[in-house]
Amino acid sequence: VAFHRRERELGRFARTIQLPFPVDADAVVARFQDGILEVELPRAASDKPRKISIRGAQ
Amino acid sequence: VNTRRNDMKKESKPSSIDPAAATREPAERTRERPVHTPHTDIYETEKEVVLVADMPGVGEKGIEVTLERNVLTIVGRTEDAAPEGFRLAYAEFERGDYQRSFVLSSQADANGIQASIRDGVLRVSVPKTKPALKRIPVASGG
Repeated sequence: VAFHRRERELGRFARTIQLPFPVDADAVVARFQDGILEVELPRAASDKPRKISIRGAQ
Repeated sequence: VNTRRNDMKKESKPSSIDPAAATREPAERTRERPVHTPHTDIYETEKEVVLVADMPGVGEKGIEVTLERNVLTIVGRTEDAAPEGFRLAYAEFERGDYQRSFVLSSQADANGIQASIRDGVLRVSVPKTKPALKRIPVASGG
């Protein structure tokens, strides 16, 4: 076999990404289609912004 | 870390398998999307020339392989896959279509070209015709 052109990179793909907030690990969904990996990471409920009501206002 | 898409050049001239063959400019594009030149391996065995091109995001329906004269053109179309209700926070992978042309040598058997795509990798095989061996009878000068 003779190669005329060799531009593609073969082997393993690995990457580590720091997430901007805690996620709900049980609800993470990953899809792989046509060579594109898609990972959906929902924000953890405990990290979601909450409204705090003020007590004792007169 | 694989960020090779960043250094993709936009080639307008067809690349040549046979460097001696003439090249032509491809036609203007009509879709308003970035068009990438896919990274491609080309190798040759005794029987065929095989072209393998990385086209992430392209499915079976988005592939178009055409041969005009001796120019083989591969086109891959992707669809926008941006999930609804999200805003883009970071991007280094540019979505777009793919296109590239190659000049085949005269050995190519146009009728036998086969193409398939799997996991965003296009594979085109071009069988080689057997070189016609012509024997010239030599007349003996009597």
